[in-house]
Amino acid sequence: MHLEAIAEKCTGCRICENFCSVKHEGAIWPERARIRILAETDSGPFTPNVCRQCEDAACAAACPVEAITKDQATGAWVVNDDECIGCESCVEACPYHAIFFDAESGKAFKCDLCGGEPECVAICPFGAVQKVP
Amino acid sequence: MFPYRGYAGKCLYVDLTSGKIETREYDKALAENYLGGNGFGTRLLWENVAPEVDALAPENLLIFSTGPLCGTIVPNPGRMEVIGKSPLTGIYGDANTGGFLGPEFKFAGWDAVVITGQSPRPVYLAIADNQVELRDASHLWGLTTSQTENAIRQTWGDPLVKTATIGPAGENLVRFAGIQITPQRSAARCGLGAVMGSKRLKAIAVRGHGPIRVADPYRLHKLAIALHQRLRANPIFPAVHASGTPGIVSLMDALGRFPTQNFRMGSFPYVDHINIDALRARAFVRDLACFGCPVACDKLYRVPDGPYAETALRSVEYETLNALGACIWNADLDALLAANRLCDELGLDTISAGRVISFAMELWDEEILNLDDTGGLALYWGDMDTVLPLLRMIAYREGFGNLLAEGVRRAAQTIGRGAERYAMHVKGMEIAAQDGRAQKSMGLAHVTSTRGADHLKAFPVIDETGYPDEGRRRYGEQYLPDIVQPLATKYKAFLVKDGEDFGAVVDSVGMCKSGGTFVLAEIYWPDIAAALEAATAMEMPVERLQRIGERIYNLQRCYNALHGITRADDKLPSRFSEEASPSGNAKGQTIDIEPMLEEYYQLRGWDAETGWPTAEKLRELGLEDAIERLQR
Amino acid sequence: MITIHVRYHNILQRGAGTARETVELPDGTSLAEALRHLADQHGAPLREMLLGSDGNIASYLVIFRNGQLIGQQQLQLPLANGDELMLFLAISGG
Repeated sequence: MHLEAIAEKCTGCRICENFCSVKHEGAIWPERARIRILAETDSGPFTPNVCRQCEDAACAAACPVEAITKDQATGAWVVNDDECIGCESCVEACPYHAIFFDAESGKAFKCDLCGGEPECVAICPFGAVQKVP
Repeated sequence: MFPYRGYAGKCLYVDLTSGKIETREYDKALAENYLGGNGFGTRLLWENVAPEVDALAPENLLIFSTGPLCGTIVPNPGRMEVIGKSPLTGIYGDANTGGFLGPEFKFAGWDAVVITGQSPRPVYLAIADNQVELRDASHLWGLTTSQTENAIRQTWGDPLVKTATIGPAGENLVRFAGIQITPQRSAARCGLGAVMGSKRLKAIAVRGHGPIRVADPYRLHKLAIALHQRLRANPIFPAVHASGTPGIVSLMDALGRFPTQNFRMGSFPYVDHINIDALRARAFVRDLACFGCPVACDKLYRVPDGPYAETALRSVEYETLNALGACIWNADLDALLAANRLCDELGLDTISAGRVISFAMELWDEEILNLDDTGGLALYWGDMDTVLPLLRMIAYREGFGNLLAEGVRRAAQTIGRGAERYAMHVKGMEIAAQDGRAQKSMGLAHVTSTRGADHLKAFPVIDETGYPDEGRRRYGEQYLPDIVQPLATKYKAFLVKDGEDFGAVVDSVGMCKSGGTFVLAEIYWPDIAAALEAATAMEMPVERLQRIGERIYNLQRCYNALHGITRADDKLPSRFSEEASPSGNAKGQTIDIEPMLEEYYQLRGWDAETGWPTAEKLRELGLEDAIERLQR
Repeated sequence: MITIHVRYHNILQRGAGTARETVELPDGTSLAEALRHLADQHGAPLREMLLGSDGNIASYLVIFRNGQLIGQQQLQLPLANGDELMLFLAISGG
């Protein structure tokens, strides 16, 4: 499974970012959201940007310690915090800018598909983010 | 240590005279008794800005204030308040805005910014998380609002900086200058842009990267999901989303509630040119939303061709379609959108700007004004070739524009010759696009509003069309059908009081009145009480929340009482009681405000003679200090 | 037969695919029957907008007959030849 953005449905409300950060960080914190709205201007066009869960994941390939592994149940590439050394090679490697670095913890973070029930998909009022099997 | 979550927990106090910037912990008692947002500003104004202080004097405060639910995950949590004494009315003033600025304040770690003094030179306040400084704005002075925002973002090197800016209107102390808020929203009413201009504060710019932490994220999440689902399941939700406030234009017109030719009429024969169907067909580009809002009532519009080609704007609202459309007899939608955009750039409240022009046009029509008075301008109804330049003249206080820049009350006093009769205001505030003859509760709301004529304090919207479900959901079966009928007066004092108290809370927590609390009537006292508990860990039984709303509203009334406001000021222009509405569902109707007002004072526990809160009521609300000040 | 004129507003207009129409109905047709007729004639999506989930005339439909706001209790009144109906959804605000 992976997520697909339907840009023309996005209103730029950032509800996905807010719920994503609550789910993963326990706080409303867009800077830590795994999904980000890209906006050409304040009034759009907007594109929800989130990990594509690539077949051949550049982030995983770039990781020197193999800290990014595929969760076979969901199909999500997941960062293993215990392994991650915070080198940011994955952040540089991702062509979609969909993996991020948390300077506080020194770890990379990215979309993990919420274990199979993505929060952003459930909450987007207009279906701008959808699950693709 | 500030004990409550949901809040950032600290505020900025900026004295522009000395340039001193101070960080203070959020006042715990203030949070407990006034929540934040509107209530926070009300209390600060009450304590710090005496009746003798002129609104444009350095001693006036300008308060940018978010609330504990602002920036959270409840539906439409993007609103914030700006509070100060109003240069338009001389009494309590506030303006509310959506968009993205409020949440950005909180991500930067601030609940509120309190501004006093007057800078010796133009400055703007730059807030980058914990780094706060006043920067020179000499190069920005004179720029329009979007030019100012663009210049600040360019210097900063970050397109996600959010701003509050004034345009030429605020700089030139136009008494209804607004404050423009990212993205093209507006804290428009009460002339607080002029207060900002008087302080020589060109802008506030904010960028925040931090979290908003809540007490019980799991519980808040559960509540928020339920609220989102309720909104989306509401049968009217698709229509509100699809059309936003312009969607009510033709409906209000049919009700006879759509002010036309300065309230001579309540319906506009050319309404089909400026309603949602015309707007959508002509200029729709895409749906837009404020921060965290599932309703997404905003749209981007662009004029595709013709003399106003490429005019692009968002936040085109019902009020502006009336003020710069029907009320000045303008059916040219392209010119209307151009005028709307121009007001945004100049930093003018579109409502008051439209109303001073419709006022002047009626005086022209009645031959009270002539070419000598207007400096050679002929003010024919609907003449947009005059209106567009006139808006500039108002913002720059040039020629006849200088007189209109004072608002209808002052302009009428200056003109004399019976002009007062055509000045459609209450307490100096131009009346927005409602007509008490067609919807009785709105007439009452206009006179009891604490910021002068205003629909948004009580915001009685459930009785606009007779739709029973919302009335039933809010108040149960017992008040139906009267409570939802626009021409009925029964229960309307109750409806207005409840709306004012609830509205004070909505404006104090940081939510929107158009996204579920009033429009759609889904979110009510128990929902906000529960969300507050989850977000802040403050114990919040519904009764306590209701008391807070009542306290805020009573304190605003007390503040106005200190400024000499009494029952005598709670009155509509004579037109509404003397001239029968000529059109729509309201045909033949006038409004007699007194019986409703009498009932309202009783419900409020206010003295029927003075219109002031009684000592008993103030004691009940814990406002002992107000008893003492009112006695003096 | 009577002739009535119908005006659709806002998203009802999109549902009907037209802003206005004129329909002929038997003498004595009530407002409710006329609305049902329009719902049947147009089908989805107008049908869902005019009729609630229970198949009754939707409570959120705002109806003006010859400029006068019509309450739910007046739905059974017969229409007259030449009547003009304006239809809105009950959105509020402003």
